[in-house]
Amino acid sequence: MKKHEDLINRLEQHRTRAPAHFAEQVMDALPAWKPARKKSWWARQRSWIVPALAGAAATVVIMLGFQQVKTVDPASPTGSEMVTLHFELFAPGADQVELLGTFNNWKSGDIMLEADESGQWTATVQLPEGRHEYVFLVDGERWIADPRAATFRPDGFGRVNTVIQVYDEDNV
Amino acid sequence: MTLNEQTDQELVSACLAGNREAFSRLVERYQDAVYGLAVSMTRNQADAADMAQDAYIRAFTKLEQYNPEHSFKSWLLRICANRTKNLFRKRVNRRRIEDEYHVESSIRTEDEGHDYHELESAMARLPSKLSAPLRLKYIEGMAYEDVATVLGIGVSAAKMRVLRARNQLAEMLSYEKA
Repeated sequence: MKKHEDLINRLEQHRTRAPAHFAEQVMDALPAWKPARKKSWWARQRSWIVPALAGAAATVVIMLGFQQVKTVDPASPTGSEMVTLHFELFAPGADQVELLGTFNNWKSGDIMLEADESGQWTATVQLPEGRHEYVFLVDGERWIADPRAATFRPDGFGRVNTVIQVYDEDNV
Repeated sequence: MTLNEQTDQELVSACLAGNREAFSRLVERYQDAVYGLAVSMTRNQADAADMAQDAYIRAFTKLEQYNPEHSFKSWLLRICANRTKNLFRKRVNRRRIEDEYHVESSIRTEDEGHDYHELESAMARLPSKLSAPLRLKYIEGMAYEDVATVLGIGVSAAKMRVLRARNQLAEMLSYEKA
């Protein structure tokens, strides 16, 4: 155990140094234009606004998640009702996020999420009642289970899928 | 107050106002961390320098999206991790670990002794999925939650990988296992 503590101490003291003149090279490679500042950004960071917006957003997500759409899925052999769900993933720096699941045969390019300026990706999808598995695919290469979900299932390939049960309120 | 004394958030704000020098300070502040993560993920110094530079350019162009309520360092490292995974893995002919990694001189300085290169060399032999979380946890001093966020994995996976990395590294360096 003492040896492991020594190793941890050694790691904590260690730095891998960037190449000489790295910072200069980065600055030379930056685009000539400057990022346009949104003048009201900092002004909007009032202490009461952030939690208020977060609460409002959470409420909207919950309401959207359980919003009932009284339509019948013509493609469903059982004629089950469709339920509107709202999917979200925080992925700053990503170029593309898509939603793959049992409801679209894990088809890539079918359901694309849209990003806001903070890097929050969202999509609103209508799904038939029942059990669904899904996963987010980031930039076509990274498979990410929904961090907000409570139920996961191994996909047999070393990753996990998110599992949700979707029911119309009248049928619960 | 000089730029060196300013917080990350203040530097970002200055940069968004058009002060490129402010971004230069951010580059200098985190260049070792970003480059180190890229080294762990690419296991190649030249590719790591390219990826680290790419991450900074990406961060600069997306700076408006940065939320100052969160750590700039974590945001930057997450961009680096995402870009490195996406771009580096697309290469058909991936280069193997450089055998001469530990003797290359590009990152060597006068005060770096045997211990430095022994540790660098050992970490370079770890699989990238173990080396990266180990580096973030101990060298960058990040919490497991932040390690998981940067690498896009679960917290339990981050803990597991750090433990495995530590055991393998200890074995390489002839330490006794706990």
